Amino acid sequence: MSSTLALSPTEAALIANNAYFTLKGWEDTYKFQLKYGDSAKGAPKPVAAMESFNVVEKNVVGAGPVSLAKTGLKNATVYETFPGRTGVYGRANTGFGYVLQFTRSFKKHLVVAVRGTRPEIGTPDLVSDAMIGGGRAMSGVGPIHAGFYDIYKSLVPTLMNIQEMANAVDVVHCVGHSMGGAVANLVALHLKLRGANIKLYTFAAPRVGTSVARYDKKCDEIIGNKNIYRVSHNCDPVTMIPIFPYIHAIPDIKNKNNILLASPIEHISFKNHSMDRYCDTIRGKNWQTLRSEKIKESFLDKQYFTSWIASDNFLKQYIGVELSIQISILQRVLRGALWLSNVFTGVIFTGIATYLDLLAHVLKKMYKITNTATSYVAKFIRDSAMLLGMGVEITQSVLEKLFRKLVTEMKIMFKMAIATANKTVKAVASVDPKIILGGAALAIGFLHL
Amino acid sequence: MGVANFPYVPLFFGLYGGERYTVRGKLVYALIWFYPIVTIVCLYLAWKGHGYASIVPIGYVIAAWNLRVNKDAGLGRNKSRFKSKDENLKESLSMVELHYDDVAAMHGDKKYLLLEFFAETREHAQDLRDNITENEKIYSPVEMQESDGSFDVKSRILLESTDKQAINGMVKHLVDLAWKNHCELSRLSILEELTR
Repeated sequence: MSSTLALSPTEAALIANNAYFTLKGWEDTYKFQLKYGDSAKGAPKPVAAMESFNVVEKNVVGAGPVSLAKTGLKNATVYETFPGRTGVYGRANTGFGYVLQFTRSFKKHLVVAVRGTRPEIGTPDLVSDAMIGGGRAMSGVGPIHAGFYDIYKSLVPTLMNIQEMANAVDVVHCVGHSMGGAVANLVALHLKLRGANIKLYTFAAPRVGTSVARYDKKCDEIIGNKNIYRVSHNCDPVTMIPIFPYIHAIPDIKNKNNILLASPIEHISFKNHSMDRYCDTIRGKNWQTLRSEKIKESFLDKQYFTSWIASDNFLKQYIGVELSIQISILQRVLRGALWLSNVFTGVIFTGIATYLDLLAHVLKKMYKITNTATSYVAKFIRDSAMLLGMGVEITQSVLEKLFRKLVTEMKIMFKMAIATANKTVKAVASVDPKIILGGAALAIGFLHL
Repeated sequence: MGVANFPYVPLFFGLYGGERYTVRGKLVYALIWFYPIVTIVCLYLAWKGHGYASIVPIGYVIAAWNLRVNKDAGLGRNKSRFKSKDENLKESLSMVELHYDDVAAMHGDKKYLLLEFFAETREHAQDLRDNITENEKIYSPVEMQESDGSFDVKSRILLESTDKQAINGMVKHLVDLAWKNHCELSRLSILEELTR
């Protein structure tokens, strides 16, 4: 890694984690949480003010618990700490980040680290997060989340002070976690538009700009996607907001720098958002390893399947949404079922497998497994019918009869029927896929009873 | 869109950290969850029955807000936190306990305690500042800052020994000194001189 200009994932994560130490009293809170766990009562609270420079310095490059001294970055020095303003009423000027400088392989590096939301100081940070309305636009970029834009504006004096230095060094790394990641986006755009060579690292950042203004494209044009490292846990709620029309800097999951990692907790939880959890996920790995560990489509499929199994109401949340989305959800659940079932070893399904392909295989194979699997199929057909707006009640005995017939007597005919139905779906998909899908499923049933 | 964008709502009611597992934390969480139902029922009642029912959701939010946990979190403070010197000493010693692990990772020649004292009046802050300047081995000049009508006195005092008992003894002495000057020790950290 030292041969490139980029920070290693561990360095970037520690830098983002250390940015919180600029908040006065966070050192005590953090140490308390490390010693007694983050669920322990009586943790000292940080206050809305700036921490002493020496305390920040100690934690970033000295004897702190997550200091950079523990990585290969031993010659780094903290250049300055800077304040930022959050909130609307009862605005707070608090420690918001630091500027770090170091030399590696004869290249000069500068780091701008920005902290994320801390509800412990009261409402100011939360109010900034909640200001999702528009009304703010960044020159050359377009509309921006109002809360993040206001915070960025409060950092502009600091950015003006370091601009000359930023242009003189070989690379400037902008780093942040959560709200800090969102603000780091804007800091990176600001410095890049004024001539600095930028690399941006965000952990669990929410969305910043809008798809209407093509924020993702602007980031690519200005910073370059190859210079953006966006790390997120797939079950971290903060990375999912604000919803459309807001968009991430690199929204495409297939982009190698959109590093979507498996969450430590497998359901949506704020615990997946903690910077310490991100540090645990990426500790000791390089970017290449992280990319190889990125969540694959199959993982998401498994998650959809397990969520569907765990909850009777999982599919209900998709009632009323666009049909193509409903079908893709059903497809994910089915693919998840296939991936999770050992009996399907050797059956490779790619993204092009249709809903009917998958349904055919599940119907055919699941019956053979156990009664539990059969009940899954019954549940799936019931839920699918419900999702597609059909009030079909399918009993266990009817299904068993159907499957027995299917598996033992009509294997070939079943496959032919599915193949025909698929062709028909493809040919007349524009008419009404809902009718075709429902009709095909029921027709198969009646044919074989 | 609004609901989906605000997973932060419980945080506004102080539901973070260990307090979210307390009875009160769970109660506030339940109140937040029931809010939409209460609102819908009240609006229906207001439509069908009496218009005053529409005020209930507002009262409900106010009640939940008053029950919120972590009320002491906020922008700062301007009055004393501790009821007695013993309480102040107990918390200060627990702070030493928290920070002492750092000493093992320190390599600098000079190690010092960064201390912050809280004073309600300028006179008390000045007395304490003078006392520390005259009697303690200070690492850098004692600073005094005003915020929200109260005063913070920040001092860096050299550590002659990094033995835990010695540090505890020094903290005990400084808490004594603070209370003699009508102040309290509000924060401490153990630092070292880093070469910049």
